[in-house]
Amino acid sequence: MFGTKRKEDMLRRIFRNAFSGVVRHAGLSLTSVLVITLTFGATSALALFAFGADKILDYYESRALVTAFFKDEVTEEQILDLREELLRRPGVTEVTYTSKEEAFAIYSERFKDRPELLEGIPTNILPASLDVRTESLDDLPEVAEFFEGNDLVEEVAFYQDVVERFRNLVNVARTSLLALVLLFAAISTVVVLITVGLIIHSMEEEIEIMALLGATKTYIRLPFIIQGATYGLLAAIISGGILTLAIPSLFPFIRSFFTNVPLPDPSVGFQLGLVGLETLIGILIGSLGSWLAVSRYLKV
Amino acid sequence: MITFQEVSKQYPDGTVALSQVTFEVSPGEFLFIVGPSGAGKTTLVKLLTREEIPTEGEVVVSDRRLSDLRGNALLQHRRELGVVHQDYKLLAEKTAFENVALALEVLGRPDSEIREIVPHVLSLVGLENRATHFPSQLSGGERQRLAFARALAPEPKVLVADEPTGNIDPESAWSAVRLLEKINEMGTTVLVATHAAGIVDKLGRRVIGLEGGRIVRDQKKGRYAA
Repeated sequence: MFGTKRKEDMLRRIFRNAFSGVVRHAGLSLTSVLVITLTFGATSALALFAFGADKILDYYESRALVTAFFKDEVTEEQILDLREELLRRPGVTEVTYTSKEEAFAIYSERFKDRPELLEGIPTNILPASLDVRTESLDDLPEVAEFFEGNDLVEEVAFYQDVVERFRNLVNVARTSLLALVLLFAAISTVVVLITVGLIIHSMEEEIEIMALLGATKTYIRLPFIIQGATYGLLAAIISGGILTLAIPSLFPFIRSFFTNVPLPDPSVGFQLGLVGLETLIGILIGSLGSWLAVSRYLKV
Repeated sequence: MITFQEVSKQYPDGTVALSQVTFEVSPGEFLFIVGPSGAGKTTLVKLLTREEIPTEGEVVVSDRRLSDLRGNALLQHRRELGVVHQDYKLLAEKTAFENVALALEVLGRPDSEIREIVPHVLSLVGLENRATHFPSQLSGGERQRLAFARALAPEPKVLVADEPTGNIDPESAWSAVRLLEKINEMGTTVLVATHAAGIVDKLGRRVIGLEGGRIVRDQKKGRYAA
């Protein structure tokens, strides 16, 4: 019982020393906290970008299709036979038939505000078509080849390249952001190392006195490690606050660029997970930086 | 209790601070180490606190060879030794109470004990009304007594004082000496490194004289000058 009380008192002193260190060296502490917050800014940007890009990519992949436009003389019956054949192919999920009349109706609807584009055009001028969607983008080339080898088909429109290019762009952006996050994490660790190093230097006399009074290494060193971890924790709290405030205005802004894409706000679970992850990373960065400083500068 | 066996200390810059120093101190003894500045008194204190290691010879305290002490054994040695440094080594950002409490906190003493011991020790040195004052708000004599209070709080077996009367007025110096005698009467072994001739002569205790790092005399009831 006595021993437990003694340990509790020791632990409380160690934490008290750590927190008073943060307050006593407020300027240095703030520098570290801000740099780690910057890391979390990049981490949050990466996470939100990944979230949004995945949704947008999913949408475009699901919209990717091969469209076959048929020759004028091809009958509806022939096209519907072809549709049945396509539906039996593995990987094909949806085949939509658009007749000449429906195509004209769509065209008329789209340009209803510009009657000059509709004047004098016969209603059967647009070709009938089949839109084919597949489970995966990789299945689209086969469908395109199928149409290209068919005499009934006048022209094949194939949108895989656009989606592929978008996917590549997203991957490059994601990798660049990840590299940025790692760079910021490394810079943060170094900044904590320097900050705690400077604090150790400014407390040399106090450390020397504690050592002469018989303080253990843990008693002297642990407050500095906790101090570093506190910087990470504070940065995670600030970053979490900014994230919570930013998301309600950020996502409507992003949605304005992708009007057709259903892009929901990240869920509360996603945000909590992100803040939790950043807290963990923050504590790790802070502890690592201060541990390096203690190992390097604290000689007791 | 304390044995210096042919101890020599040479610093990296070539300065020989102590040379072939041999003496013993029994438990409960009161001893003055005297000599002019540069005689080796502070080095002798640093060897006792194990801030320095002898170049030759051995320092043994309570059957522990100080050169061999590492980790917990070194901590234990320092915890049994109360030291009053020449510059007091008080923490400017802590109050008198906190400075004394620190000596107990690092030893892991519970808060309840610290709350009892610190006022008692502060009262012993006459600083009971200065508990909330910072060192900068204390006079030279008060700072010195605070250093004594911190050294005494953990109830050390040995108290070492390096020039404790060096930077204070004569009245404070005498009050410090009376305090040292009181501590000694309570059973604590006391070593005082000083060049305060008047105090040494008045007390008539054992005196070891150092000059140029060598022991020039060791007298049971000695005086400052031979």
